[in-house]
Amino acid sequence: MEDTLNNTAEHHRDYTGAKMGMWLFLFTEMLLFGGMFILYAVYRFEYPADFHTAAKELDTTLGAVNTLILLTSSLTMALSIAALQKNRKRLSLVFQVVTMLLGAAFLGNKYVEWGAKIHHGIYPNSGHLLSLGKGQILFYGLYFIMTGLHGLHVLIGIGVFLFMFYFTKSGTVAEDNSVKLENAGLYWHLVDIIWVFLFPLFYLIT
Amino acid sequence: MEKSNTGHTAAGFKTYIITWIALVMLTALTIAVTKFEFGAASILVALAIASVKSGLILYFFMHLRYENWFFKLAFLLPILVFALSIWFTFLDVWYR
Amino acid sequence: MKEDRENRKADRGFWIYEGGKTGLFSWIFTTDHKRIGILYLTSLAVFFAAGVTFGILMRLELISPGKTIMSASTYNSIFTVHGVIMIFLFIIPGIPVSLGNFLLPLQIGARDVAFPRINLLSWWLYIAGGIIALLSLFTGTGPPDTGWTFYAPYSIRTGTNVSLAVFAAFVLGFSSILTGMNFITTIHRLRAPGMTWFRIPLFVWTLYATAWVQILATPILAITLLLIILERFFGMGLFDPAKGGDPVLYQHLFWIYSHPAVYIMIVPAMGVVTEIIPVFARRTVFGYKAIAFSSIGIAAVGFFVWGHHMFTSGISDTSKVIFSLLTFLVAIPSGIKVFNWVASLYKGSIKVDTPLLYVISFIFLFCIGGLTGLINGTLATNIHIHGTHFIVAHFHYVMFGGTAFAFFAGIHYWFPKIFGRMYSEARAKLAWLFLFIGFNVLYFPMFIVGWQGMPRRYYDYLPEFHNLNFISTTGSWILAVGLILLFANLIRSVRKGEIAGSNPWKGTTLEWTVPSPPPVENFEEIPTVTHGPYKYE
Repeated sequence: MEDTLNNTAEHHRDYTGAKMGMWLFLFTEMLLFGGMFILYAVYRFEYPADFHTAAKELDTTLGAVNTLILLTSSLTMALSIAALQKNRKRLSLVFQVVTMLLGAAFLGNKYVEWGAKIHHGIYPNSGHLLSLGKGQILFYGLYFIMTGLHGLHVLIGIGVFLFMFYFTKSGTVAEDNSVKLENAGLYWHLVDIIWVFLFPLFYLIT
Repeated sequence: MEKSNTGHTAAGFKTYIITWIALVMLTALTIAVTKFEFGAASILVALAIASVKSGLILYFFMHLRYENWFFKLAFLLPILVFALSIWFTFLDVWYR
Repeated sequence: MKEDRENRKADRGFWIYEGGKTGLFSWIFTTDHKRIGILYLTSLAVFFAAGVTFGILMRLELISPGKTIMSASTYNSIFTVHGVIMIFLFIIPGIPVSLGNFLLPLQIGARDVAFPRINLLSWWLYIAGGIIALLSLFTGTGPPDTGWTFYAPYSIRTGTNVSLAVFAAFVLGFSSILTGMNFITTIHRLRAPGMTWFRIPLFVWTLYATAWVQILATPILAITLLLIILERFFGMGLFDPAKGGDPVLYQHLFWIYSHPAVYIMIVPAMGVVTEIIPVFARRTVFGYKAIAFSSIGIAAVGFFVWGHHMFTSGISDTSKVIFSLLTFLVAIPSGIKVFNWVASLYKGSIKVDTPLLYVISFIFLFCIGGLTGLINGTLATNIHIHGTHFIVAHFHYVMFGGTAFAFFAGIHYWFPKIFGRMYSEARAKLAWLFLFIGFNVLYFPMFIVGWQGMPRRYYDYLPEFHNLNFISTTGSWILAVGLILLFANLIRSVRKGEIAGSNPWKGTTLEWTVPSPPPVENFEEIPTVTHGPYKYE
């Protein structure tokens, strides 16, 4: 979808218009997760003790590492745009690859983390999970849906960057026409912001 | 359809790196404060730090500081809708 | 696009242009907002016809007590499908995607919308959603029977094909979001020189307000529907009381979208009405800014009244009182609009052609629908009428009597612009007569039986409700005749109507300055605007 959006923008050369479209799309992303945060807030309010117990089971170190990975990928993303605007195409490509690799590393960690949970019998509707308190069932329900949906966004982001890499290489995205890459960056940063909230809300309940 | 400048704001690498350092330090902070007992306020502390981090990402990484009034104002709309939605939902949940 | 200009014949405008693609492909792969508008208009008509058919079947079942033509479970499926089609496939996309798509760029002096390809993508998603919705009827374990609201926990437990229907609504939501994004960007970026915010036609204002609601509310529905699917496949437990979940929260999330969605449906209709009144009263609209801001006001307040759908769901008394209060507040901007419309007609040189006929019926029917809405929004009376036919009558007065009548008004008003030909005025008026009488005969008795206590969503009822239900069903036939006459007249006129000329109504907005039908590029030269939209001497 980013693709169509930006091709059109390129056609018209209306940078502000293209960015406006992207921001509006990001608003919908914010509220998509917003709906989940409403659920989270209500259930945490109703089952504070269960949320506390369940959160202890999550690996804070793994979560912190993933936070670092995503923050760094946001940095390399921003740097790749800056590099392109300074007309340093090679450097921009390098930063794009690093961003993708960091995204992949994030997903790898997520895989390990989910794998461990499932290994311990904690997955939706599992006998073990149902034997825990109601609040814990809800905590893990939210955990799997929210981190899963977030992971899906990371995956889509990596897909978008594959296109961006191709566009930058072929010169469709260039120093004087970088709005596609900028919009891809906006999307990536928003995914980062969502994680910034997910991390304390799931891993750091005290 | 005037050609706007927003596509051509070449920010320096340095700004981004400083932003990143600040973000990493705030992450460390949000983990560190879990050692202290804030009780019910702990979630507020966590959310406050997360909001500051998001603000940094929005302002620097996402170039909100270069954008015109529309972007800065419009950005408040989804936040307002979300905040009020959660508030109205809690009017039910809280007093039920 | 430009290189193909010589290909077109002057009098057929965008209808001739094929731009390298031929036949059907020149339509389904077009990025011309006018052609996409026509695509939507056609698809809407098809889904509307399907929805009407299901509605008539429901009325037929209710012609007498007991089982008449279908079983209870078939009736459940049919009212669900009627709701899903009418809400998600007809009335939510409705005016913005068809008339809006066609007219927005013309009215603001642009050559197209901001993202023409996304516009096409929206239509494809809409069609995909429509096909998935229809598939859910014929595949799997039977058509969904939850009602269009998909309330948990029943929607999680029922064995019918809910997942597919829900997924259809999800896809349609995405289509709606993209349209909203496109329209906001278009209105911000592509207005002609001199077209300041207070010179844009009021229809554009309503599209703008609607687009914001589409953007800010639809994602909440998307995630809620996604949760229903996940619940059904994985048993997450978020809305399942046995696992600690709270079904009332589902209702909250659902109505956080679906109440604002009501304003997605009605606000553009108000825009159409506002466009038509000045033209047929030959005077400028009364209170331009009041109408513009009341659109925004309705959209804004409309976000926070969703609780009035849940007065009997066991939500807290505090929230009931606040939601009820806010519900009354929505009546203020709506009232402002009604007074402005009436004031615009006052002392005008009124010419009652078909569009105005529909507009006047809109005002009348919308007032009935709106005022009964206040009865619903009152806490005490709500308990009495919640879940009865009173509610059914209320929202049909607003949605059908309001939005659909305004839609018909708009179609008649812009028909000569879109097709370059005029319909038969006498036949159009005859169709209106049937529609107006049929509508009231169909829905007004529902207020009475509802007040007397007949619940909605049952295929059976007590014998004492028989007479009124019989009258109501008769009304559905009169209404159907009206619809057939209406569409027959329009379809016939597409080919056989008289050539209309560029401005048959002597309108003053920009779309009337271009030939009918408009050329591919809309304007030979982008106009410079020097005054407001409704300038009459």
